[in-house]
Amino acid sequence: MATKVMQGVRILEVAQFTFTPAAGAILADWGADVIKVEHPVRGDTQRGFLNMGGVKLDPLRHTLIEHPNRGKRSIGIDLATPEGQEVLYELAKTADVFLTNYLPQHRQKNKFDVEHIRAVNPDIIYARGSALGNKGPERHVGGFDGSVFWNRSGIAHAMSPAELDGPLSQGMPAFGDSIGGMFIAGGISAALYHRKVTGETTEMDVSLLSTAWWASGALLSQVMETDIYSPNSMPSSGSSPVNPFMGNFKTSDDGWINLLVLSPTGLIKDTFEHLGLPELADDPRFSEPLKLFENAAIASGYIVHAFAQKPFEYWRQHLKTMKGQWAPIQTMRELLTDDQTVANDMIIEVEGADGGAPMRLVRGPVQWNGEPLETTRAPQASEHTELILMEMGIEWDRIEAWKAKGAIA
Amino acid sequence: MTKVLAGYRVLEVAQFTFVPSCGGLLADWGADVIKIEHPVRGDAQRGFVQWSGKPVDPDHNPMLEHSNRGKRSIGLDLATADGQALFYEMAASADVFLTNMLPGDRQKLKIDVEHLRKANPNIIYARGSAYGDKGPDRDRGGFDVTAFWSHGAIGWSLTPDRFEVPLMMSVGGMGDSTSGANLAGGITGALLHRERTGEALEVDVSLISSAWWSSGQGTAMAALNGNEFRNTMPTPGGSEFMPLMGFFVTADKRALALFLMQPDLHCRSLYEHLGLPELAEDERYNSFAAMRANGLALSDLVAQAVGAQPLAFWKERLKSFTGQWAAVQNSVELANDPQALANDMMIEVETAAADAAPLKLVRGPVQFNHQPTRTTRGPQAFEHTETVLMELGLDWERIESLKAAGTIA
Repeated sequence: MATKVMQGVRILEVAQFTFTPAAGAILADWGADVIKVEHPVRGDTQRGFLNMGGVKLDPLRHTLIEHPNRGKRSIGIDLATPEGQEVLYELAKTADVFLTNYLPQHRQKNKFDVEHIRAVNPDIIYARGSALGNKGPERHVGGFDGSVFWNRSGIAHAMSPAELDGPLSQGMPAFGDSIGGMFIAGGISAALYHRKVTGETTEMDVSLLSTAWWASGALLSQVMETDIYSPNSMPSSGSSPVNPFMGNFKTSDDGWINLLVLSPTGLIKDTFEHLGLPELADDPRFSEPLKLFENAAIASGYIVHAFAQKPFEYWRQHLKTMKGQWAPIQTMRELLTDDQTVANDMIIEVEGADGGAPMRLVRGPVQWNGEPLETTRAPQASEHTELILMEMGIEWDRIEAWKAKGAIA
Repeated sequence: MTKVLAGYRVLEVAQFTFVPSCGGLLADWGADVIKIEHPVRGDAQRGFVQWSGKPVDPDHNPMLEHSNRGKRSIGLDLATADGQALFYEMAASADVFLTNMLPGDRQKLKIDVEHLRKANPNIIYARGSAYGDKGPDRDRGGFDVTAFWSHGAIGWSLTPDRFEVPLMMSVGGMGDSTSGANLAGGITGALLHRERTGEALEVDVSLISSAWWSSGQGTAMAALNGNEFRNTMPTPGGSEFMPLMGFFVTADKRALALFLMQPDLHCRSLYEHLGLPELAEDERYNSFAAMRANGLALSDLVAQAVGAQPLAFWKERLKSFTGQWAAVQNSVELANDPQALANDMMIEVETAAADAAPLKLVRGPVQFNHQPTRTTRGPQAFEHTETVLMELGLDWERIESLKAAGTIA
């Protein structure tokens, strides 16, 4: 049984889509009791996305819902009604963390902003995920990772070669959302720790914009200092014109291997041997780093030819003992069967809500004591309403009355 | 100023960007982070003093500062018995040990978990690795370009399918900084767990576990239906079926992203903002169903309108538009983005360089109580050796003799 570092912590989540719910999923993986509050009729808006790049999704086997919501329980509450707010406050009294991505104006309108939640539970940690931060002129504006994390952030511009007709799109669903969700989970852990040690509670903010700033921080710091900035170049094959041990090389079956031997010093013999070109290590044109750089174009020809003799799988295994840095350029499908990712427990199976075969999801990036974390499938919308309310000691009459009014479902 | 990790001590034996950036974040959050460097060579990253072919002042080096701000540095040779003895004395008073040394080196230097736990049974042992601490590749090192971008399938997925080879990861350090924040989150989870249960954990985050999590939504889809993600070639304008989603070219040849996933809700507002109010009354374009039948014609109309004005005009004009949009900014524009600056994403530190202006760095993605974190510049190599050792209670004679032996610097 894996260590559950958040055992006994309760998170109350009022959030939709992927970014902020993904933080709840990570904390549920870590053992927290995460209660997801959903609209009693519509549920999380993301439940409605049943078409992905032309692929139809089964609402009972819905990866877009499972990835950011596994391991939670769901309660249906209409937060626009006074009764619904009353239920939310009852729940907030029992929670350690309130997690939301609702915009400031909605938090005010439905009375679950920090002052309302703190009024019933002064010790609660109030965690916000936003598009553009909780300060500044655009704090009330929403956004997706495809718009803010990818485009506004400079990442699309930096990734896209100028020769293309326009910027690349994010390409992968919820890339910025998943990264940012983990950042929220980390911030919440630190806030819980701080509260445990000092007794002091905090508010916490992570935005898609701050996520992009941090992810690009090494580059941005350089740009702010030097004002030198060059977007990506067009992809090329073969060695770099300077260093023949750097570049992308095609295998006999059209796979690709990336070599990244930044400094060949001491690695020339080992590299050539692994490429099946041991004789080149003694060739005066290539045997010393400076000579190797001078004759980069000639060396590249040999290396391109060598890679083209064997298939991708050969190189993926054969280069494992090479001392210099390299990687197979994998597709998502190859990543799924990658020995190393499987050995490190990156896939988790949860039961499908349809009772069918288990569904495979991605574990979070953190592991404790080498133990793979366990979790369960995401809840159906409002699946645990009665259970949660009865746990809180609320009588059936009251539950019925709220239900009749449509405040809960 | 809330320092959520104030009073906690982290010992870091790590190089390059991934794991040091984790230490930098923990220092931002208030921890006392002591960076242990080789007494002659220091962190290998200190040797990278070029950017785009131009020299970088080693005393004013954003690549080093991004991941090492706020720490103290001690020069200590862990390959010697005296160095190890001193290291264990330091470990006795530390809460977290943070490393990216490979398993073989950890064993050789006697800094693996069993050695550390002998000196301090309660220390949290945190490893950042390229390929995880299990599996056949646990002994292999890697950079974010190899492990995160190439092996982790992100480069392939983001590159349009027309290209044979993937794009370069032109946002330098992106996989490193993301993984560093993931590890910081894991460490705070482990600190909380130790505070609540008394149990000290080992923590693992790898470059590939971070790649998996970041692409988790797409990877779960790939696991479900076997479809691998490839980006498409960028083309200006919207598609036939989603005419109001895409990149539109402005008069100054920049790109504006429109992202109307639910066009029924926002097309009227868009048409007004584009100066095309008549389209809201036109039955070919005023509902999602109708616009899909006339998609390319609508995309052309929008492209023409967007193309009549420069990007700066649209940035102002679209501020009141109700749907999702973003200017595709470059890194220089992001560094000056008023919303990012209002949310404190940039921090200035004084560096050791004489007469230089303060260096601008990127704050971490998490904010507590709306307070911008404060930090100081990264240490010079071995800047704090004597201070740290005197704090530890070493007398001057021992310090002198360790120095004379070359064990410390």
